[in-house]
Amino acid sequence: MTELDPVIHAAARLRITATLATLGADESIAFPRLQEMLDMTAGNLSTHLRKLEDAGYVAVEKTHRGRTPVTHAALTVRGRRAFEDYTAALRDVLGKTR
Amino acid sequence: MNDEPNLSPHEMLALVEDQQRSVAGQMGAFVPLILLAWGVAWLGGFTALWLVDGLGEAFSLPIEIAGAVFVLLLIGAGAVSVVAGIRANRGVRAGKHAAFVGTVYGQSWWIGCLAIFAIGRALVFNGMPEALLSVFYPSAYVFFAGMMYVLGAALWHAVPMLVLGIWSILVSVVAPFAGEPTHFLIFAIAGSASWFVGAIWTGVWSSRARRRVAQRSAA
Repeated sequence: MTELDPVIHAAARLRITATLATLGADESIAFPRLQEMLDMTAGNLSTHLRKLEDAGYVAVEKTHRGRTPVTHAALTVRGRRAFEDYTAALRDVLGKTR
Repeated sequence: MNDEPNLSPHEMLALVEDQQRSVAGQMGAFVPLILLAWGVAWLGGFTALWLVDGLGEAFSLPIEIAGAVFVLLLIGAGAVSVVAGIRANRGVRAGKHAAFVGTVYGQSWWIGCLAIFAIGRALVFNGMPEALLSVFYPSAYVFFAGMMYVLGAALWHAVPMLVLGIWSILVSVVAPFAGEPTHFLIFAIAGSASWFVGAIWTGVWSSRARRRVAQRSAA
């Protein structure tokens, strides 16, 4: 049996990763929109994003639009692979085949 | 929020699937609104055109008013589509691939519409009676729209769009056989019905996904 990835194996981070995985490989999403999609508080989302970023699963890019700072998040190649491995492992555990 | 994995593998997998459905629902939250707007435009616009001759002696809507109602409703539905589409994608920075697909698809609409207008005029130029344009144009435009939905369905893997597209194509080839002005009535009823069904279908689907994910993450 495969070990479940501890970085993703937490409800909040799993939902963040699953959401980012719906974007295309070269797409990213602004922080407020991501927050809205997850219905999380800004603080909570930041905390979990940082953990995912530390693991190299998420790339966070801070830019400016005019004077307003804009933060965009996206899954890295490694993060997308980790998510796919994780869901595959879950299906394995559950005896589901795809 | 609890950082510990307190859900079973089964629940975790369900959480992934529901969260992704919820995202798809939120990204597509604009779809029912757009479908509704087009349903209203088809029903109102084509009924107005039908009312020019459809009721015989009993009532006749002046052609200028019918035409204006038709055009205004279509422009309105187009505006709703554009605004809702932009709102749905806010915050998402498209990659090069998605941007290319979106631009080509978007521009194809007006290129195709202009081309159909020109083909109609060319038929008249070659001797087709001008009166036949009222049969040619609605069918050609509805056929073109149907093909664009089918294309959109292929690009974005959207099943409702595929169903709408095939239905539109079917209506566009059947309606002209009914002749003028009955074909307008067919477009009004058969056309708008598919939009309304589509609006309900997509609306129910996305609200269900959102409700399920809310329950699961609250649990």
